[in-house]
Amino acid sequence: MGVIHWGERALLQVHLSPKKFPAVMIVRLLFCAFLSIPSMLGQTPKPTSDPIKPVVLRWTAADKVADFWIHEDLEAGLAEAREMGKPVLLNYRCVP
Amino acid sequence: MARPRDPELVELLKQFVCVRKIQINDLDFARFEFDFELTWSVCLLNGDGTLYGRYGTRSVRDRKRNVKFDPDASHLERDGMPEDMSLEGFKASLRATLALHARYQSGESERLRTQLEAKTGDAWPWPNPASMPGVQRSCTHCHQVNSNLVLHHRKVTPMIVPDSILWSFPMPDELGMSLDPESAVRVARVLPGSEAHKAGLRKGDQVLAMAGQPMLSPADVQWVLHHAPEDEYLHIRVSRAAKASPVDTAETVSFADLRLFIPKDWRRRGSFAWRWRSIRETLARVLDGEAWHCTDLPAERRGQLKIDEGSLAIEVLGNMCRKEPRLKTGDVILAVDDNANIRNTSELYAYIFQRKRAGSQLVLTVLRESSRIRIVIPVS
Repeated sequence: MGVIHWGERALLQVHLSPKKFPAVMIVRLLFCAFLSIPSMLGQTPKPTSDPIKPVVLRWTAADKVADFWIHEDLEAGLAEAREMGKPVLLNYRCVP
Repeated sequence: MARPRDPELVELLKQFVCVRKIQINDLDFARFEFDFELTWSVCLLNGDGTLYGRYGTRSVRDRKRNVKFDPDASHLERDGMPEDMSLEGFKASLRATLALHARYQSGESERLRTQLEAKTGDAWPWPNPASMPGVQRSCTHCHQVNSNLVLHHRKVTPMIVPDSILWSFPMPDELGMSLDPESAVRVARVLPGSEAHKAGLRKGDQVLAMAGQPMLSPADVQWVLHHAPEDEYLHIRVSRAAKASPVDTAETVSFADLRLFIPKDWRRRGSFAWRWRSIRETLARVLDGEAWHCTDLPAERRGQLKIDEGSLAIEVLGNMCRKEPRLKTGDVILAVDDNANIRNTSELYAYIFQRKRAGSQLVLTVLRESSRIRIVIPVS
């Protein structure tokens, strides 16, 4: 039997025979338990990428506006305007 | 932004390369400065980067809270419109832009480029919004720009927060000239006796240029006024249609070059209290977390509370203070620092931002549930 304590409180008790459940498996079990701590505490890891990009991608897919609007890339818009001889309409708009 | 449903607008937009940005983090302040209290703004430019003009105006609170302007007819029908913009006005500005673009592309670019240079602004304390202190890095809120600008001036040049930052992007109404939001830049009204009237402006005039810059929208007029030096004349070129006689059907178009006088302190005739998002943020950082949203007390409430017509009465509509708020919703501010000469909400904010030094105290006399109380707030 193995016991992990937090102060006087037993956090984890393992009642397994060493033959049926070798030490390497216990280490793996503890490692998995360690990895699950954030989700157990209700925390989610912070996104590492720009949080706005998924919103833009969702719009362009769902609203089918990709043919009408260039999203977030002014330089691409300027290049296209030079090529086509059109003026540029640059719209700044907060996320609704 | 959904696909526009107005067929005429769709045809107009097809003649543009449309770029949408929902983040201003990397916005080049010197190049694309606009009124950052807007939640919807357009810059119109050539592919070589030359700025033709701007579209997007707000001078009062919208008729409904959180109305979002969008060139989508169904959306406008649903939510109503900000009072300073209209779908027809937007389309008129796009047509004016296309006309200017045609001139630019057909050999007038050198001369126009010189005229359009003044449409871009001066250098800012920061290259872009993401470089400002204390902003949300993932997505900088537009109103944080104005707040940071005020705080920057309080820090770097104490007590010299210019009126042009507080009463920014002023409307021509303060000079007696109202523009028709259904047009690109057409004069809707001229107030008798005003600077606009003295300059010779008339109802129906199309404003073609101000200070040498081609005008495409009311926002362009605001841009010129935003930078116009006081105590000087501003050159305005207008076109006006006229019939030779009342029975004639044909109109002749004439042009007039006018001089509009810009008097000292003219901005203070208007109110910037509607810019409550940036004001609230600035107040919180100057007044120990206090984040009010105030308005001049309406006349009928003055009567109910028996407050004289000429005396100060500013109603607190809300306080987003994260700690224990000192001012509460429904409070009425009756005096500031006992006898400071303040007549309205704009002047109260200006007094705090321009006159109150860090380390001092702001003393308010407040009417709360029929009792007068004194509230002291440290200034930082």
